[in-house]
Formats: sequence, structure tokens, C-alpha cells
Amino acid sequence: MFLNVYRYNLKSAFRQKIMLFWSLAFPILMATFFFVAFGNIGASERLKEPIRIAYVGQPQALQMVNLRDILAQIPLHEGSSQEMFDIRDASEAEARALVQEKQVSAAVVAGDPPRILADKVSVSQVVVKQVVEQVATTQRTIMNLMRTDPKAPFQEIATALNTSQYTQAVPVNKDLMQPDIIYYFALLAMASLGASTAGAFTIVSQQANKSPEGARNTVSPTSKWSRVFANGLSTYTVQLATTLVVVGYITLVLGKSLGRSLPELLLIVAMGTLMGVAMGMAIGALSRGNENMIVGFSVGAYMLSSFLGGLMSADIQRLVDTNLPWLAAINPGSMIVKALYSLFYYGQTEARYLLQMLLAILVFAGLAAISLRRRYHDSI
Amino acid sequence: MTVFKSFLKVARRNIGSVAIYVIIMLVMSFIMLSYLGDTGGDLQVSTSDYKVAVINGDGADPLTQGLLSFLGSRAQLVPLEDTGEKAVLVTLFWREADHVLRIPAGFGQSLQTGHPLAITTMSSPNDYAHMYVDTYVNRFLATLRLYQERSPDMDPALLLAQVNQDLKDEVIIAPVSGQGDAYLSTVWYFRYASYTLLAAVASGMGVVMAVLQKKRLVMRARVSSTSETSRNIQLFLAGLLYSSIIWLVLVILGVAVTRLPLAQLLAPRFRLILLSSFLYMLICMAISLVVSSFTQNRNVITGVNNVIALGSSFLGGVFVPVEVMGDQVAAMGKALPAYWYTQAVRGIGEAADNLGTALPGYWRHMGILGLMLAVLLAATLLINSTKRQRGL
Repeated sequence: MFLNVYRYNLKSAFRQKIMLFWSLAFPILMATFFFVAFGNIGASERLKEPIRIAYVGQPQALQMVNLRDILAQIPLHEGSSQEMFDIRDASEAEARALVQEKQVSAAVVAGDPPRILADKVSVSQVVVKQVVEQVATTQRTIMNLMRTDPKAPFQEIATALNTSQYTQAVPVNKDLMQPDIIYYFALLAMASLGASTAGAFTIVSQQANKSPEGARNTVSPTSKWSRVFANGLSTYTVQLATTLVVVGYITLVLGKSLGRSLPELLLIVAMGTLMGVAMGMAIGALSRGNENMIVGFSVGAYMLSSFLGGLMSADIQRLVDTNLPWLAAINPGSMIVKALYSLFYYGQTEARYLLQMLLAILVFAGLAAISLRRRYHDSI
Repeated sequence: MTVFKSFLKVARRNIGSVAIYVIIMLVMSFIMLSYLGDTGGDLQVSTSDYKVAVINGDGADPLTQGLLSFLGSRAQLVPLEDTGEKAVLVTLFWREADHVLRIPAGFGQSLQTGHPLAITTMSSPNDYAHMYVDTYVNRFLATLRLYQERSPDMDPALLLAQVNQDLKDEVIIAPVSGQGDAYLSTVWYFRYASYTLLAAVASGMGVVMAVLQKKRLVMRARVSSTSETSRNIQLFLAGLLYSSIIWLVLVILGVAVTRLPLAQLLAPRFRLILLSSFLYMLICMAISLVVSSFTQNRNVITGVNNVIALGSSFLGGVFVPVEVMGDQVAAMGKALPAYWYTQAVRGIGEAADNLGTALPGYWRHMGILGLMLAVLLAATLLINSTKRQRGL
């Protein structure tokens, strides 16, 4: 009987187009959006055109101390014929107006030390700050040396001062680390937890007071637990299959690397999907409302959970992780994202995330079981 | 007003689908605005709070200690108990330190030779601020070596004092206007609120329209004494009231979480932001009408609206600034109302105090949004008229 219920529910689950849309089509569409939106994200790190700045200061006779001339000579990139800065001379009042009117990204006010005026801090302003700071400190050192040795080779000294030879970066997964990877992990968390809607339906379809299907199932000779378990298992089978298709789409079609160990990746996804189904079953069993309300709860729960995992903004995941660690520890979406991220980062999954997920599965399943036990309907 | 009342009755029963999006927006804005700090989502420019762990294999060498002292004045030095490679990775993963420097044994001595040893560095994933720290380290050591080469007999204490003197000042970025962070938060909020507006209005209204546009109900309405025009006007007014309530809730929520002072609430800048969000709300209504013209299946309507809301928010520069995306994606985004709405809100929110130069751009963006609204409404009318003529 168990196999019969499993088989028929499997067929039924594969024929529910709307459920397949949420489990399969929706994550695939979202992955495609991510791929299109973030496809060029690395290229934006390189400056495409000169930064417009205003310069406030008197021209200096000595070129070595003329900040304006030095800024004007810096190339946009190594070997580029374009300069890094497009400079407009202005008084301080004019420079402020230019910044406010967004005609320049920042204004550099010459002095010791120089000042930078800006109305926000983004990539352009950071570049201006870094360059001006570098030039200012180099100038100061050279001026000190000039006092003792006016004939020192200042060009060589300036080059020696602007070296990066003293530090050597050891990359952590340099080739794999991409700024958009968290979005894909959050998407996989969403696809896995999306199984909660199907899990909630599993419970709704077994309760006589929540759906006509449930009323029919209740009068069947199969025991409640056998039905619930068979239905849950078939739902899990379908949901796992759809999540794996999403993983395949991201890795094979979009060409994104999701980690170095496929078995561990599949284990996380399998556990995540099981957590989703169990979460949905717990919501379905605990909610007193009708079918629509239960589905609404489950959609809200998994969307909120995925959002906290970084689905809509990678900053959210970082902020939750650093400022609200208790929330990250109990949020199913964060568990999946962190497990995937640790696999990606270390090359192997941190056991603690798998344990957290296992614990969450047991808690959800326990809640569903406690809520469903001894729930009978009078014969009318 | 039977149709009007029916609309609101159905809407009340389906308030849950709208509440989900409002709750997500509430949680999202609370987390972002509480912990994002003063940068309004922009880049960090100071390293004073930046956590650097140093694994010092060079002991008490005076030059190495000088470097550590200099670093301590520019960043927050955090202790690291376990210095093994795995422990360092864990430290970076959990952001207990953002950047780890490993100073090799004999580093201080090697500075006095022609071949100084290198400090190896590791940084947290997707961290960019380590560039500042690496620059400081390189600048400090380069300056130190320069003085050392020119005055080999210089006392280390004097040498370090000289280097610190040269590098003492950090160039600061001073704000040019007094508008503060309030509007940065407001811009952030209203940018993200466009997703909530679209998802909540389109899904909420879509579900109501799915009920009211059912074929049998429409046919019953056609034989009633209420004219089609009156019915459509009532539907429109009820939809407008319903969407406006969602919009108003989001506005009140925004004012509360951004803690915008009263003076700024009454300022033209905020009124213009409100105007653009109201226009965007009308577009959300129109999108919902277009979608529900095609299908009355509430599940399909919810699915399609979610795809539209999330898709246009990603491609239209709501979740990810358009500057970060490639030119082709940005060009694609221009076909979406979310793109023009975001441009309008950012343009006016980040503008100078007098708003003068930002206004032409703002009205251009609003004009484009107005045209998009007209196109969407025309499309709805066309679809409905075609369906009516075919007897569907």
C-alpha cells in the first residue's frame, strides 16, 4: 500500500504544473536573470573613462610639488594614452558647486595634507583618495630629502616609494571567488526551500478539514502515518529532482562553478530540499487556516528565509552573518548558503552546517508529527 | 458601488499575499538600515574599523614593531591564537579578521639588505578594503627603506619617527553638502520599495482581478443594470484605492525606518520621490491589469508577477546598481519601468541641495514612466477589446 500511495502521488506531483513552475521554472528564470545581470560584474572593476575632478590650488613653480601636474600625468591604465583624471581648475566655492551639480566626482583641494570634497563615496572617490594620498606622502618624503640632498634622483625615489613589492597576496580560491556567487547559493537555497510549498500540500492533502482530497484520503484503509510518509517521500523525490535540474542548469548551461566536490554539493542540496519539505509539512500541520493561507505561509517563510540568505542582496547575507549570528544560525536559508559557501571556500563542507540542517529537519519533522498525532475526525 | 465593494471584499480576503511582501520589505529595510552604517551602501573609505590580524614571526625586531604600531594607528589589530593555515581560513571565513598578514622570521633584518622578505597576505572573500592596508604597508616599508638607504647609520627609533611623520596624515573625504545620510537611506529604501510595490500590487490586485474577471461572473455582470463603463470605473477606483493603501503603508514604513526628520519630509526632494513612487505604483497596477487580461488562474498570475518583479528589479538596477552591470545589460534594462524609476529616485535623492540641475533629468525619467504607463493601459484595453469582440 505504501508503494501504491508513493507511486500515485509521484505521478500526481509531476503533473502539477504550478508546483513545477515554482520548483523548476522560477529558479531557472532567476538564475538566468542573475547570469545576465552579473555577467559583466568583473569588468566594472576597471575604470572605463577618466574621472572628472575639480582642482583647487595655486600652480607651483616646482613640478615636484605641483599636485595638479602630477595628477594630470597619471595614465588611465598602464600603457594607456588617456589620463586617469579629467581636471577642471576652480575656486573652492566653484568646486563645491561642481561636486553638488555632479559635474565632477570630487574636488581636490591642494594643501598639506590635501583635502577631497565629495558628496558620496563610490569607486571614483576611492580612486581619487588613494592617488592623492599616495602623491601627498611621496611629496612629503621627497621634500624632506631635498633639504639634505638637493641632487637626489627624485624620479627614481618616487618610483621606489610607490612599490608594492613588500606584500604578496596569497589568493583564497582566486579563480573561483566571484562577487556574484552568493546570489547563486541563495538561489539554490530558495530552490531547495521552495519544496516547503509542496510539503505543505502534502499535509493539506491528508487532512479532512483542509481539502476534499484529504477527506477522501482519510477514509482510505491505509494508516495515517503510512500515507503521510509515502506522500512526503514522493514529494521529496520530485522536489529533489527539480532542484538537481536547477543545479545542472547553473553549472552546465550557465557554466558557474558551485564548488569543487560534486558529492558534497549534492548532499547539501539533498539535505536542503529535505529541510524544505519538512518545513512545509510543519507549517501545514501547525497552521489552522485554509489551503491558501497555508500555502501563503510557506511561500512567505521560504522567501523570507532565502532573502536573509542573500537572494536579493549579498549585503543582507553579510549583515545577518556578522550582526545577527543567532538569526543566521536558525535560518534554514542561511544554513544552506553557508554550507555551500564553506564547500566553495575550503573545498569541503563544514560539518557544523550539515549538523544544523539535520537538526532543523528533525525539529520540523517532530513538529509535524506532534501536531498530526491524535488528530481524528468524527464520523458523520 | 457593488463592484467597488466586491473588489475590496475579495482584496481583504487575500491580504495575506500582500502582507508577505510588506513583511519582507520591513525585515530587509530594518536589517539594512540598522547595520549598514553611514555609507548608505557605498564603499568603505576608512580602515579604522577594519580588522587586521598579524602573525608575527619576527618577534620584537624594532622595525617590525614599528610597522605593527603604524598599522595599529590605521586599522584595528585583532589577536589570532591559532596561526595554522586552516585556522587562518576559518578566521577569514567568519570575518573575525578581514585581512591576515604573515610576517616571516628575519623580516626586520632583511629590510637592511638588498632583498627584503615579503609579507604574505590573505583576505576575506570578496573584500576590497585590504587594498588600503596593503598600500599602507608598502608605503610604510618603502619610505623606511628609502631613509635607511640614504642614512644607514640612523637610529631605528629616529628612522621610525621620520617615517611616521611623513605618513602621519590620512587624506580625508569631506562631505560637500549638508544633506547627510537621511536621503541616502531614503533613496535606498525607495529603490528597494519598487520591488515590494510591484510584487505586492501586481500579485494582490492580480488575485482580485482573477476572481472578478472569471468568465461566468463577467457574463453575469454584462446582463446587470450596471453599465460596462460604470463597472470599469468602479474597478479602476477600487484598484486605485487598494494600490494606494499598499503604497501608503510602504511610505509610512519608509518614513519610520529611515527616521526622516519632519523638515525633510516636507521638502520638495521628498515630495518628488513620493511622486515618482506613486507613478510607479500606477505602472504596477497597469502591469497587473495586463497580466490578468491574459489569464484568470491566480497561481499563474502570482507566478508571472513574481518573475516580472524579481526579474525587472535585478535588470532594472534596483537590487544591483546599473553601474555594476555591463553596458548591454543596462541597455536592456532601459526597456523596464524599474530602470527609469530607479534613475528618477536616485537622481533626485542624490542631487545637490537646490535640486536645480537634477530636475530636467527627473522630469525626463518621469515622462518616460508616464509613456510606459500609457502603453501598458493601451495594451490592456486592446487585449480586453479583442477578447470581447471574439466573445471570450
